[in-house]
Amino acid sequence: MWNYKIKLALRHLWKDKVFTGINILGLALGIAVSTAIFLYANYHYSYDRFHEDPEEIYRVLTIDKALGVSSSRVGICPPAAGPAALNIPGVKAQTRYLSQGQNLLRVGERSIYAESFAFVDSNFFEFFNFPLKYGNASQILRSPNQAILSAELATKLFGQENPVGKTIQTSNAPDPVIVEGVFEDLPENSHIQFEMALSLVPNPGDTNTAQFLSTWQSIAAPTYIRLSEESDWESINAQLLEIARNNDYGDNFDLTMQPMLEAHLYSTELLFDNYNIGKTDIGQIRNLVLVAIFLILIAAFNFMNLSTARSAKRAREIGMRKVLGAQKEQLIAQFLFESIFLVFLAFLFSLFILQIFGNSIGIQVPEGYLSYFIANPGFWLYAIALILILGLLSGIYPAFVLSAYEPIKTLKGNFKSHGSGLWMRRALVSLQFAVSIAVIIGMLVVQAQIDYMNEKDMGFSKENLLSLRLNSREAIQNAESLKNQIEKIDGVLGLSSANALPGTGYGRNGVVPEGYSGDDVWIFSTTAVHHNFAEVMKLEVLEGRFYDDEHPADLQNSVIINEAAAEALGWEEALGKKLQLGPNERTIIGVIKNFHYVGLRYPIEPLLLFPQSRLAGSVAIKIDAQKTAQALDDISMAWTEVNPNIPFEYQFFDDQFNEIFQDDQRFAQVLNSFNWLTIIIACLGLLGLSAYSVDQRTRELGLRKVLGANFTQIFMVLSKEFWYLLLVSNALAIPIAYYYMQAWLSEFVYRIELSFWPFLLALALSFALAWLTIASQAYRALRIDPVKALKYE
Amino acid sequence: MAFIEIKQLTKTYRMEEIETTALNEVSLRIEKGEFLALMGPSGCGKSTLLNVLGMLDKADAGSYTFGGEEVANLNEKKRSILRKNNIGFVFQSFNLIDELSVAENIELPLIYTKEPANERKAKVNAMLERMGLANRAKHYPQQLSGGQQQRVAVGRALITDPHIILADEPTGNLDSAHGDEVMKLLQELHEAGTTIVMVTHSEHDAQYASRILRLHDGMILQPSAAN
Repeated sequence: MWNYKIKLALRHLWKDKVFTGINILGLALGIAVSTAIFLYANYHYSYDRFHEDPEEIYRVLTIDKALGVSSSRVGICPPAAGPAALNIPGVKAQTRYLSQGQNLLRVGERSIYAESFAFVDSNFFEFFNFPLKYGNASQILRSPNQAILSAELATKLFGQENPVGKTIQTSNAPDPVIVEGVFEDLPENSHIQFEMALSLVPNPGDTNTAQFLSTWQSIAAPTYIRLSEESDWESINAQLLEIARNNDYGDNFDLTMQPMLEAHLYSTELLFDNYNIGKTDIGQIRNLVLVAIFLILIAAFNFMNLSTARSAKRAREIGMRKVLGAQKEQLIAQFLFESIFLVFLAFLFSLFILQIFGNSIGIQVPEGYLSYFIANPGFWLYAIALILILGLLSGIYPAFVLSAYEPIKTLKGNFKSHGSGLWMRRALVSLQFAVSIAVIIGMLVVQAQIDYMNEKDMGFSKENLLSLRLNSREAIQNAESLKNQIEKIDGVLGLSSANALPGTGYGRNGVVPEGYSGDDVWIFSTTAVHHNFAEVMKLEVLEGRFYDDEHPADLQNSVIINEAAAEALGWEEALGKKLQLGPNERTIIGVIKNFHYVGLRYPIEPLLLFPQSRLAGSVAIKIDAQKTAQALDDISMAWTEVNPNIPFEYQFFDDQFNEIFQDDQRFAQVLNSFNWLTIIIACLGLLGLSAYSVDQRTRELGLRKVLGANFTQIFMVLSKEFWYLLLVSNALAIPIAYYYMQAWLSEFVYRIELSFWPFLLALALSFALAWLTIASQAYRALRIDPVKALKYE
Repeated sequence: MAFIEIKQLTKTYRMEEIETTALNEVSLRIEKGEFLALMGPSGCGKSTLLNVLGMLDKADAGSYTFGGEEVANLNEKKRSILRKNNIGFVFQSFNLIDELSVAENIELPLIYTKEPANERKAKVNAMLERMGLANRAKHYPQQLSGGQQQRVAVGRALITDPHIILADEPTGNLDSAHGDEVMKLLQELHEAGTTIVMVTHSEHDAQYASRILRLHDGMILQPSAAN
């Protein structure tokens, strides 16, 4: 019986090759993109779940209640909080992790960058399930200057041999470190990422670090605690806060806890969360999943549509089967089987599409994840569920319509399926077009916003800027000679530095402004810049002056603020006013025009610029666009001459800065591919419907041709019913798209105004595409042989 | 007791404003082994009568006993069971399923009566032999002549050993040579004891029958005419 069903299904599909092709193609495209999106969503959902009992782990966060702050949750807490939490019943363990960025490692003559390293508590590898290749998790990192390397870094430094016991010279400290173990490379879906961990144990006599580790006065350490199964985090949180208050933890701050499993997707607005690697916004995932569901639905609509439209061709077969004793249920089963079978074929095809074009749809699922996923039983569950649901969903309507035919009406030949089915099909095609139109509008609006962001005046110049990082003691020591060398290079227009360049995350400081009481602590973003920073970055000084080498006293007692800071403090005349920062007092010597140092989704917040005594952090070099290549070579040579042991690495600043739009750009790209897909699928739907119309009206069209109708007249006859559908589609799509895009744009503080252009363009495009599709069928109708058509039954 | 007996059978069709009486209180008995030809002009109700006999259509009023069982008011499911076990159909337009081979078309009714696979195979082979189609078993309907297609249809109608064959203008789409071929086949079946009811326009074909009924405006004109 199965054999028979499969055979019959295959022959039907093969007989109607065009129909089958359209159906399988439409479905497979839809499934491919949707599967990619689900893979992507599943990947992000899988973050940090590989740990043992991950739901028991919480991050301790700070709530910042200070003035001048737009977001209150901060991803770090005082270093003392973790150890203190161990005194609370219900807290099983704590561990801390201080992420430190790049580190230049030297073994003998070889120098290699560790892209990121961290200081971690000695129990870190017991607390988390990061398995060790060499070493024992319960014995490592207990003394100062101990290190544990990722397997990849260990291989880079030492080849295949076991490196335990070897020493490495790091760039952050004078003493070498001893390798205590090797951990397996951290899974990509871990929000904690580093290549090397060093022991968080101060050297004897290093009172600074020891003090830092037990302070309640500084907010600095990402901290994790593990609760026992039955404990209640809220009560533990309250007890922890009480301990903090007893230790003079500032009144401006509270402590809160976040389940570790929420760290990856629910931390968008968190500040000081830079070491939460790969952080993604749940809203973005939701948008994409919505897109996926839409896509699958319209592909399924297509299928229902084409199957029902085709039903007339099978009416006779169905009638005959009924005469021969087939029960209605048997016929329904056969049709459902055929549709499930078709979805199955489409699914196989979609895997093929995914394999080949997966990377061009704009969703980057990490390499190897597809095969991992296929090896996972969850995938097969997804596949089976998808095939069954989609097969049933898209097969059920045609199955019931077809199996309800009365046999004697179908066996006489010129049977036509009028009525209910047609309205259903029209409704579905309208819906498909509505989705396409809405997506076209969405794509145009998103693209316009992205263009706007790319082109918007950020308040500084990001073009032709090279950025280098000085992240080892050696490089910082050699900074002056590097500067002297580079400034001499032809094509270099200027050079400066800042602790952090715009877009890369600034620090924050509490200040008490002049005229405010000591209780009113304001929290402002801060960074330190070298004296010609304004010139190199083209920052505009509105009042006063910028730092320059003629005022060496600036280093001790001056500060520059942005307009937003002056405004927040209500100062019309800010020059000469004083800011109290801890024990130091600084006088405002300049006010600069606001510039966007954190993307356009957020408002420009108050900012303080402190002076750097020497080149440090990131160096920004302005280059003459005409001489880029030569200048780059010369800079590289200068670097190697000054820092022979440190590899030369650079970035173009605009690339680096644009990374803050990455999520939006990804959304635009997905929307773009989704857009083409919905258009293709909607056109396939219309093609099917108009082809069906031609088939049904062969005799009529043949007669019209005999009577002298030309292409335009045939086209008008065929297209008449579709223009109304298209108007309905537009009427449906435009308000929905308007509402949704308005909501999307409102997430940006700096945004375009919605104009009527995207709407008009989408409307025109939908009509143009419909015209083309129907015209192809009119052309086909025109080639009908009238003699055959008139005999046709 | 007659094999088939219908009494006072009435069937009307309504289309917009016009009501057509297809069958007007028709009464009729058919004995086992009879070969009955139904004749009459277009629209006289002969196809409707055949459809009612074949339980493809329901009458509005009257009684219909089939093998002693009253079937006039059975639901679709019960009628379909009776149909597949007792009745074979042959149509003017063959109504073969294009996607199935000759052998598979003949086999189809056995699938619906849930015959085991090995028996199906044996029966189909025997039927192909009997219809002279053994060398065409793997062909598809489009590859056969009209006469051959109608033989496939007859083979399909006979495969379940039905008590009665209902044929609706079985030669209507065939030239005379192929038409005779089919009529001879029906005659052989009749001689072997199969009950046959055939609708036809052709006086020539009607001569093969053992009895001819003529219908006009939904009524039987003359009770019988022996061959």
